[in-house]
Amino acid sequence: MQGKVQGTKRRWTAVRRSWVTICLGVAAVAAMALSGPVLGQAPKFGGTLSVGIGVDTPRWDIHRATGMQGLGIQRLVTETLTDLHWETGELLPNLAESWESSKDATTWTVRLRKGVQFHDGTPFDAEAVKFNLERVLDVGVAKGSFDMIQRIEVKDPHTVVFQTTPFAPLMRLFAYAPSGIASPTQIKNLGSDNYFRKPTGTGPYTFVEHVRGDRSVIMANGRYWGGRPYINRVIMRVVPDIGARIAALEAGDLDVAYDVPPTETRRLEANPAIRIVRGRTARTVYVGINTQYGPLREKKVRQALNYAVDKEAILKGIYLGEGRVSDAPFTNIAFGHAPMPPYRYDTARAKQLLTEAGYPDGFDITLTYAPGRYLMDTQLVEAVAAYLRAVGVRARIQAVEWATYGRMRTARLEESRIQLFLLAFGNAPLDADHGLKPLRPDQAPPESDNPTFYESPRFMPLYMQARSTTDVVRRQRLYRQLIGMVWDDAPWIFLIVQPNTHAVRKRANGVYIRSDETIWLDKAWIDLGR
Amino acid sequence: MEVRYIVRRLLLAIPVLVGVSVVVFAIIRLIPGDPAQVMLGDEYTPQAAAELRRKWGLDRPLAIQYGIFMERLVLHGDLGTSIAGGGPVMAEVTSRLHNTLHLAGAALLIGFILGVLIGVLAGTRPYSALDGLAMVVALVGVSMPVFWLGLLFIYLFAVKLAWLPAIGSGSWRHLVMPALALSMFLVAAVARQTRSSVLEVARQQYIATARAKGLTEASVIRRHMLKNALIPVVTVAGVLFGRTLGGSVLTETVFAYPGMGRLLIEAIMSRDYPVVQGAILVFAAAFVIVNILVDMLYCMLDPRISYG
Repeated sequence: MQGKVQGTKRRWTAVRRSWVTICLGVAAVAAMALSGPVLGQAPKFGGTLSVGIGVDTPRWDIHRATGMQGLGIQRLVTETLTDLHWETGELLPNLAESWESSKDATTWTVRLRKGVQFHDGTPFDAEAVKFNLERVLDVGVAKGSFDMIQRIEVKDPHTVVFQTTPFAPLMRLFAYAPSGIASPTQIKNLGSDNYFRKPTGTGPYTFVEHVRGDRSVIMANGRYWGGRPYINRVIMRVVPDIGARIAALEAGDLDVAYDVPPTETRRLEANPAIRIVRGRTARTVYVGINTQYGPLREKKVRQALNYAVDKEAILKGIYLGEGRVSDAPFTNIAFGHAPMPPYRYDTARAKQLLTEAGYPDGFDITLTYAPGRYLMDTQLVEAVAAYLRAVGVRARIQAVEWATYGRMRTARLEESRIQLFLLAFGNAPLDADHGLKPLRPDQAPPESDNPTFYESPRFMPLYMQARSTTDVVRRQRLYRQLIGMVWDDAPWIFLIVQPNTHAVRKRANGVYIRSDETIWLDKAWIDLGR
Repeated sequence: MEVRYIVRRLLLAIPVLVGVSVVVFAIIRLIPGDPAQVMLGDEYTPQAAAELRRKWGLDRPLAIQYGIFMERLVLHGDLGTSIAGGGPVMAEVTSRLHNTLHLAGAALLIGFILGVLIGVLAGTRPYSALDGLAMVVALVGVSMPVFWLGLLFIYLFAVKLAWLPAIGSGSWRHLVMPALALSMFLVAAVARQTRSSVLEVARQQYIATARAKGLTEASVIRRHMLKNALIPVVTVAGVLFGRTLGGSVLTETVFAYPGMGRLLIEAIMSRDYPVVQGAILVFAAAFVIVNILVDMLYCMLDPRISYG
């Protein structure tokens, strides 16, 4: 009997153990299901992505719009012929599938993707490309950047031939957002001046509405040639104040906050719901030097200014290590970049050069800038001025409003009041040809708004040779020579390449920012469970 | 008689608005800055800029430009076309005007109600602890910059407590924080004015008579003191409306609230002349109308006042 009871007890114990095991297993599975997404979760369709930017693009017309952040949303509707990978800067086919050029870079045969339609049903073809590029050359804001195009021929419905002046980086230039391809039917129906009311492209998203200064809304295009995007709707919200933009991200009102200052990144990184996205940097910040003004005519003086400023300390102290010190006139991720030996911080060398140039006691100078235009610009200008004063160059800071600043910068040499000026340049096509544009001696004000007035008899011959050949190795060699010459001439105080730092809520996967500050949503999706 | 007065005031407003239009037209063109250069940015070339100026009619003599602007406005009610946006200025302004009026109206209401309440409490208990506290609140309200207050509200009510949305518009919940932030200086100004008025009125003989008749203090305040004390407060509120419209610029910027203040500041920065002209004219018209309403309110508060 006792044995029977013990046997029964053992059986019940075994049964209880089984039940406990089963219950624990169920509890574990339930806990995993409720605790959040499992690693490696597949993307899901649906959701709305809210993106906060600082400045709106006032007009929804890809050829006439300005402001790269707003253009980034527009290019989701109106695509470009090529694209640049957000991380590597690699040139990618897009609406153009393949291309070839003549050796002298004057004839470009571009084959277009087949089976693509605009959102209004108009077929995407060579005629549409011709129409759009002619519009860019006619009324486009960026027509100056495309003025190498002399003729556009339609060879067949999916092949376009561009005749240009020698211009090797043409296909990289076609990744520049203001050359997006819009529906010719829509432009003709609405009229060129009213196209902005209902923009129509081939992109993964279709235009819904634009409330100027407030928001732009776009919806997923179910018939997109690259496959329906995962995210159903994208809203771009204009939130000018960076503090409010970050707070809105933390409150969950935004999924992406553009342009997070370095002082906020560490705090945001500690937030479990937020990640920091660091795009490759393309915006080069520099202090331009009016090379025709008084003491600044002397190369030794300009070099002295470079030695006087501690760029490493600026990067560490103001930008908290985000971004990088410039080692060329443009970013290192651009084609044609060649790193130069740095102007290391050396006040003794700076003073020696000033003395050799005939300015042992220094001189007075004005450093002009427009506050609030670039990240940490006021702190940067104050630091540069302080470094210059330390070697006897008595820099006075002049802060002016942006539109006034623009007017000052376009004055011709005889009327220019600019001496030193803070500016930045984006180099969207990521090519040395574009990166060196601000220094072109043939484009001094009033031909441009960059008052360096740099003169160099060797610059243009080298520059034109480099853009005239498709031989990559030769181009690289020519740019190395050109950059070396510019570096030595020091028409700028070379400073930093600005960080490209943004904050994204972790529910938004696959969201990145290109080096030109436009948003990258290829395969991006929202974790709706978060 | 009041109708004739209103009509006369409205007719007198016309030369005021014409004067405003001339001043704005001149000032925005006198300040340095080229709208074409602002729009083109890195793509600036003098040829492209000249072409844009020609397209926008900015290459014509100033008198011609002003004449065209006034002709369109008077004959067609057309404020012109936005340089930056390309759309009609009237549509841009009217799409934002109601947002700013909601914001300014809510701020005025909060400022008026809270300000009068604090002012009456302080004025009826002069030199007491409550009076001191009320004046400290008023001082703090007038000293705090609205953008700082706004960020503080966003951090507290949106980020930490998640009670209200941080930015945007579309519901009454979006209006609460901007209106509160904008109303703080109004609370301060109205409270101080109300306190002074209440102290002044409290010294009047009829108040002593009312108390002697055996009325409760609440009745004395409500029936005899308040109406008379509010007359100078209403005057101040009318003037403060102008400051509220001006303050809306910063408030709308911090809260990303799509109102006319933000439209105006963006238009000034981009030298969008037609939008600047249109927005300021609308602000001026709103200011004139509010002051007419304030004058009418006097009649309601003090039957001895009439316009004829």
